Amino acid sequence: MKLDNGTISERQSFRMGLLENITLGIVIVPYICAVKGGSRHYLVFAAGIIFTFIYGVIMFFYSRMFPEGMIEETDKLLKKWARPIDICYAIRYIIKASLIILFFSVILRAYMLRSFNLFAVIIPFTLICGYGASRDIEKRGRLLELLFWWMIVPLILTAVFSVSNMEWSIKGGEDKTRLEDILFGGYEMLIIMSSLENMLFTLTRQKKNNWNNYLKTIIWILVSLLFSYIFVQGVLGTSWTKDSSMSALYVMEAARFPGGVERMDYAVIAFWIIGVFAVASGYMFYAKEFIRVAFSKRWNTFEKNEKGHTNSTSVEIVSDKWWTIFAVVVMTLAGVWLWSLYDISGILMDYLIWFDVGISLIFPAFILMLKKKREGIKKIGIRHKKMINYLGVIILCMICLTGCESRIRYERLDDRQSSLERMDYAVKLTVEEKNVKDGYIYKFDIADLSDYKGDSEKLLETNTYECIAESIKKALDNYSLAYDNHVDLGHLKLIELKLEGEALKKTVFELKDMPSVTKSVEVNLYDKTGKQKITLRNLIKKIYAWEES
Amino acid sequence: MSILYDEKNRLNVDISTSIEDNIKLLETLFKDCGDIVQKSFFIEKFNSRIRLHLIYIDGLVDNNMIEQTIIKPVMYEWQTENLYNDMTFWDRIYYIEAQTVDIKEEKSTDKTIEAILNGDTAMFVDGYAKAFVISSKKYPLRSITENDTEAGMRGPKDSFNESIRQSTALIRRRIKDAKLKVVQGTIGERSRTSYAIMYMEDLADAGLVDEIKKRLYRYDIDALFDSGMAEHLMDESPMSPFPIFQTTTRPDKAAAGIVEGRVVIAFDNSPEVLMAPCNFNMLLQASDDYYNRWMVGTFARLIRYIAAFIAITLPGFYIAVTVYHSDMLPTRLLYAIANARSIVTFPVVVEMLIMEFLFELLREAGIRLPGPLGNTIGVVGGLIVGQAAVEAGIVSTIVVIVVALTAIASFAIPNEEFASVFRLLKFFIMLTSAVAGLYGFILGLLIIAIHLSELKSFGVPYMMPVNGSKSEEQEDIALNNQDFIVRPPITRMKKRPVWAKKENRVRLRDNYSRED
Repeated sequence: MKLDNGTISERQSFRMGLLENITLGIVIVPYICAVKGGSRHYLVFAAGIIFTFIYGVIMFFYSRMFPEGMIEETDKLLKKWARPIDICYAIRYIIKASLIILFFSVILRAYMLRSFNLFAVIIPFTLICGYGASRDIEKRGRLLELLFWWMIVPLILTAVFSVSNMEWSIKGGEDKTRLEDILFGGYEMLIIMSSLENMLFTLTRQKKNNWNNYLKTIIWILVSLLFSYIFVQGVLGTSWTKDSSMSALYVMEAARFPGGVERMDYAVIAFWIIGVFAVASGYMFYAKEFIRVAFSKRWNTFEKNEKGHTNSTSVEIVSDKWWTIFAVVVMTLAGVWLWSLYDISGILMDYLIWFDVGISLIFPAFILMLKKKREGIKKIGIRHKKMINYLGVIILCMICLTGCESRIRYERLDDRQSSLERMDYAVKLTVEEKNVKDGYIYKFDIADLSDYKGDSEKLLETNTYECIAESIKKALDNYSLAYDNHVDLGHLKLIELKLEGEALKKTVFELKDMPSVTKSVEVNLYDKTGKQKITLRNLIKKIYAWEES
Repeated sequence: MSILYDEKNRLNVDISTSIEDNIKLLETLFKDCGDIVQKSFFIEKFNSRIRLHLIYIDGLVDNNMIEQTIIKPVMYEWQTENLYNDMTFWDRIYYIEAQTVDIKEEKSTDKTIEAILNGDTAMFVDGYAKAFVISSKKYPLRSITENDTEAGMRGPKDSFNESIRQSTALIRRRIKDAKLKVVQGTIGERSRTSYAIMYMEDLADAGLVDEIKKRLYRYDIDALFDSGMAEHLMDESPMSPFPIFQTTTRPDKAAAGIVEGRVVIAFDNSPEVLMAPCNFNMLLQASDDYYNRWMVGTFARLIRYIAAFIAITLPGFYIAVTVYHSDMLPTRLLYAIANARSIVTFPVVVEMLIMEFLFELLREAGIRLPGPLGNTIGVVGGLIVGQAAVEAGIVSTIVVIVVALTAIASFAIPNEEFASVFRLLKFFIMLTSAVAGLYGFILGLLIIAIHLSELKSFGVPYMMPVNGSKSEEQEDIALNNQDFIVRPPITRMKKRPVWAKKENRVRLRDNYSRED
């Protein structure tokens, strides 16, 4: 049977392109737009879309110029001098894979595995990415083709169940945003989308390097970003969006599957793992390919010997994939040790801003120039010359745009983790500040399950626990000390806040930063005007709006 | 004795012209074989006494047939006393006296002995360095019974049995086309098990047939007792839990596979035939799907896909949600689970493992025990032990429901071998979920997905048509014309799958002339 011939189909190329490129974008792009653009976030988004599209077109142009594949043609062209370039590319991809794995692991731990050691998150994921990257391009194409719907369906479901939460009335942010901020925001968005570079390698492995298919991929990537941007802005508003780089996760949290899943964020984050796998294993795959080429004995790696085997060296005998996995593990762990976890996203952004995008544009251009010279065209054609000039200008602009002030902050971790029968479920939380000097009065109405028979008609009995503490976290700790059980706030039905001003803001923001508290919970707010009913999500938005006004 | 055999257990002595030598050889070979029947006869013909020697295995041959077709005509009803004087004694027996069509001459001792062991009768004639091999097989056989392993509501009910000849006949009965080829041979140095490779000459890829032949002889095995052993010999991914052959006991399924361009391999003594290539999708299809109306077939198939997903993921998902992500559960359900678990002493993971182990134990015991006792075990285990375990606080009611639902889902998978893989991988997912909640759950599924996407069955990607198509044409065939989850109406399934020969992919066309 001759169904395998080392190439990928158009469908595989499309799905690989989409999975590798939207994973980070859908989560971070809305945040970048809000931070850089304020109330003019749409301008940043538009600039980002334009930059990303241009970058994508450049990558397509390169792929057309290297019909045999950039790796192969570099090897042929530069012979022994190809090695530094191959090593440089391999290092770039290893760095990117390491940083993405690290970044992802931190997020995952913050939202899903709060009681986990970071290494317990990083190591298995890196090994699985290595396992996924150790295959050839055809198997990789088949894998991502298979995984495509695993990631897309949860995203579509989230979008469908979030529609009812969308609201455009609450706005925030500065009204006067500078042009530099807009352009820089667009550039940051491009940086997040720089995994488009991978298309340079996949396109040449496609049976037909088809512009229509590539255009379709780019358009769908941009449409996905647009949807993500609209939903995050619509559900959270600008102020909340720019408050956290992971604001998209709040949108996921707000989505609920009626009668089935109380909150969708865990499920969506779980499937988001697949997207991160696609990106990280993609970088590891290309790193592996470059290592293989860089350390082969003869310069023309793709020439096979009489037995049909590719010539190999000792490095290859140890296996290029193991080198890659080893390098990624070492770099990821080094990242954890060397830097504070809070700086990882900043380091990632700085590296991408200053080096990565530039290299991804300059190296192929350099090789292209050499290729043209070797082909006997002493003078590069006017068209190509123009293209290179434009490229130079774009790179120069990108280098000039600077700033690495954006730092992503994370919520602190919670070390509570118990099986569900070892928890006490709070149905109602009341916070008051009356007559208390150093703190607030917290009342937890805990569901009494001893006589619970699952009868929905019958009212649930509750027991009230009351304490005075500085914060909800402290109150929860007090409860744990008193009863040797944890309180779960994931199924709160009502929050009563008898607070005003700063006290209200502090409590609401503490609730916002607790991933277990659903933001759709009803809040009874008691102030001078009397009782007011509002959802926690809208209360958070309102407080942001008050702050800015 | 061992000097008579070569390293591959084949006899390396020739048949002698002296019948005494041949008899001595047979006596040496079959020493202490009480089921061997052999006798010499003398015929006084052409002014000389000619000695014949017959040998067969008692119980494997039709004695009456030997009497009627060989002994009686040759010994007592000699037809050519004064005729055909130009013919040799050998030729007279072969062409005139023997009253059977299925008689052949054999010059190789090894082949002759193999024929005797297969239930044929051999006749040695003095003065000739060859023997007659007369087909006289009459094995003790199970009759063709109703299919109980792949039962269906609609469609034929017959099934293959242990006779290779009946297996090939059941397929021949369904495909009356001379292009259906049956390539026969034997495998196993000691068992000499017969096999038959069946395929349509104009539909099956020649490379596929060659590859199957090549793989069959990749190893020299001493004995092969079932198609399952052959499957493992031919396996390209022995470390994978997923089968790369489809096995079936249904002749209609095997015949349908052959006209799709697939290859069927039948083995003697095995009621299951192997079909290749095979993919994930095929293993979730049942014959009924094609006999019922397309919407009904599609619905049944959808149920099976969901069942397969439940069979592998439900216990793991339950562990992940209850141990790590109880926030996901609707409040009332959470309270119900928490309440049910409040009297259980074990953690969720141990509780689930206990229940799953109990279920697997019951299943295994049910298979080993005879029918009525097996049912009793099911009742005793399922109802009494389950109920007692809940009351004793060993497991909670919710876990009993989860395990029961998982078990029912695994039984909905039509291929037992495939269902076993799901039962096995369920434990893997449980383990990963227990270690890291939904993160572990997804990583576990990811490992399975990576493995599945690299798996191939004779060059065909295992997850086709979900992935693996190489061109628009293949995608078109795989997605639009072939049956995946949706089983399209028969009138729309106009093309054969991608593994059929390209020039003969059309299997249904409009008959505008309305001719027969």
